[in-house]
Amino acid sequence: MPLLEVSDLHTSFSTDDGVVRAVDGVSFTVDRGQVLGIVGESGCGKSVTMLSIMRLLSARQSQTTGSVTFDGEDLLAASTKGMQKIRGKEIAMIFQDPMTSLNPVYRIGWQLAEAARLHNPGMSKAEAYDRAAEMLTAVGIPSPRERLANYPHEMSGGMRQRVMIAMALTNDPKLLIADEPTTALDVTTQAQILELIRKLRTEFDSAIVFITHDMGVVAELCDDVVVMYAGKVVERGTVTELFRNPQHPYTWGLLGSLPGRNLRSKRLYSIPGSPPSLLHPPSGCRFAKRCAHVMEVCLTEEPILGGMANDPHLVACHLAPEVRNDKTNQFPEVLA
Amino acid sequence: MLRYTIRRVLWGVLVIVAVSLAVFVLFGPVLRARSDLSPARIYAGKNPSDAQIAQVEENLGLDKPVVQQYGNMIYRLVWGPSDAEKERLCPGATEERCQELVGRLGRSYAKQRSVDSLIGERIGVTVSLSLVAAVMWLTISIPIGILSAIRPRSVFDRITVTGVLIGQSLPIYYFGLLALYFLTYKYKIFPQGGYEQLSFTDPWPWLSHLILPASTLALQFTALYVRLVRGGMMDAMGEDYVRTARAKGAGERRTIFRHALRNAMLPIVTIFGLDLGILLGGAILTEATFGLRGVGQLSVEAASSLDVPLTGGVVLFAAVLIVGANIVVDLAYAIIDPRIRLS
Repeated sequence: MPLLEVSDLHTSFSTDDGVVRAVDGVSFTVDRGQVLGIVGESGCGKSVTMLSIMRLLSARQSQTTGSVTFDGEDLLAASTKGMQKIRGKEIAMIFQDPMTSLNPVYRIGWQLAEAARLHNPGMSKAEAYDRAAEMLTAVGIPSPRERLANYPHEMSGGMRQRVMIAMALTNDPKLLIADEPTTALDVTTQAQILELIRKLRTEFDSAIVFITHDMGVVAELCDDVVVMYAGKVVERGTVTELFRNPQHPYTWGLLGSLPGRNLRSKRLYSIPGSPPSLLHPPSGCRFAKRCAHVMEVCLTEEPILGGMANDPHLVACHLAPEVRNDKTNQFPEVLA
Repeated sequence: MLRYTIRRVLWGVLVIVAVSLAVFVLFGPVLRARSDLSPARIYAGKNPSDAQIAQVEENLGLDKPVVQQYGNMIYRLVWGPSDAEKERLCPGATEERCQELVGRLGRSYAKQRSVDSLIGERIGVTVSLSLVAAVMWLTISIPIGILSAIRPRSVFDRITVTGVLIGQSLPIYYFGLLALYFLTYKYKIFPQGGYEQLSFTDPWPWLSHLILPASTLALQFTALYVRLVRGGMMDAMGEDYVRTARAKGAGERRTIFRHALRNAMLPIVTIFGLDLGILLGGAILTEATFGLRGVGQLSVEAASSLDVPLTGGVVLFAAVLIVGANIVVDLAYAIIDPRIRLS
């Protein structure tokens, strides 16, 4: 049984202009200890998917349907109290912007100790602070005891993200959701944080869902990949499969825009156009308007995520398998 | 922290000096040059002779050069009235009596007493009124603001927003008069205007006289503070660290009170300190409506009787309060917001 099973998840927001379907029928699974990457450009529903799973979206403004089963428990049906026991204990989350994710008026130690004590009611203050210092050591922060007395503004962005990671791992969660944890950091710090996550992955043995728009990070870190576009999953498979034999034209675009893959051309590839409005999504395939291989059927009929029998590599595309498997389509620049 | 405090206080002193200079110039040379309102003429009674006026000018020190007059004023403000001045203005009086006649802030023409003793007499009313009103508006506006912020667009929130608009639009004298008419004259629930000294054995007479005026004064501030708290809380609830708190497993109550509220209250503390400072300088409309003889009324009396030293004295007093409130607010802010570094 997978640790997390998401099936047919829909999340919509009511706005003054109408209903925005930010997540539209997303399904995937995460096994214990596995790292799943979710990729896609900004606004494709990656973060909303994870926030829906954690039930961190305002129930007044959003609506979530489908099913989310975590460790045998239906999260969408769990009580508020039940959800609180899961958040931070079973599933922990780190966010994109460490500069704003920590509370500015409390010391680091207080915030870390809070994470420990929320889920261990019997724990004394001293024990909670011991745990906090231990966690700071684990994420590679020197002189942790002194650091506990710091306020967030006294630390750099990379340090704060380490603190966020320490906080998330305090209760040995079974699943860690990392929502673009390196996006707001500079490049050298990004590398350090990725290295840290890779190291902690073996140490803490948590499954990780890693949200990113960086295919390079996916290649380095993940076991499986889900590619999302405009609120839908367009391709899903193992990292090796997806990089060796990408099936969806959108994935081709993502891979083509990686520096290093197409050394021969001087300019990086970019997918023309921009994603459709989720307020009035087009009928048929949502990528059709930007797709170089668009056919008539793409404009009217929505492709269904599928694959060969027993093949874990799934794609939602109307193109014939021969076209999708053609290397000149998959990596046009490389072969040019 | 100590250096910051010293610097803040020095700046405050500088502001007070500037205000005192403005008061002196406006109520002294400027007033005399632009009108025929010689203070000595007001003081000397009806149809005074030139000799009487000259005598009064000498008594008040108005015959001295302007710079020396200002010097005297500052000297008096800092060290109290000089022996020579005491000799001139209260010859032969006891020390106690003399204090009532001459003080640091000068002497009222019309009331023939020191501004200090006049303010001292009235400040109790103003302080009581301001503090009771402050307690009222804070205890009402903070919970309403929070409830309204965590349920935006709910029925409660909509009622609140409408109520705030009404509260802010009602002038004090209008609401005050309505309250007086219904609750005092018609139904006799509260005593008619006036003020009772606070007695700790039986505070009720004091409080019952203050309830109506304080709630009238508090109404406007409640409306304003509901808006401030609501806005601050709504912003705070949308912050990333609130999402972090929830993701940690903190309950809704803990998230609101521990994580969001403290951040939301930071700017409100500043505004509250300043508002209180201003109020202590006199709540003119409320005091007038309810016949409370506080500092606000004193300034009205001073202005309407062309009592130049009294007006100037009250202005200076209010300036000291506001500057003092500013310093207290800045220091308090530095204590409650760790991001403010004092150096």
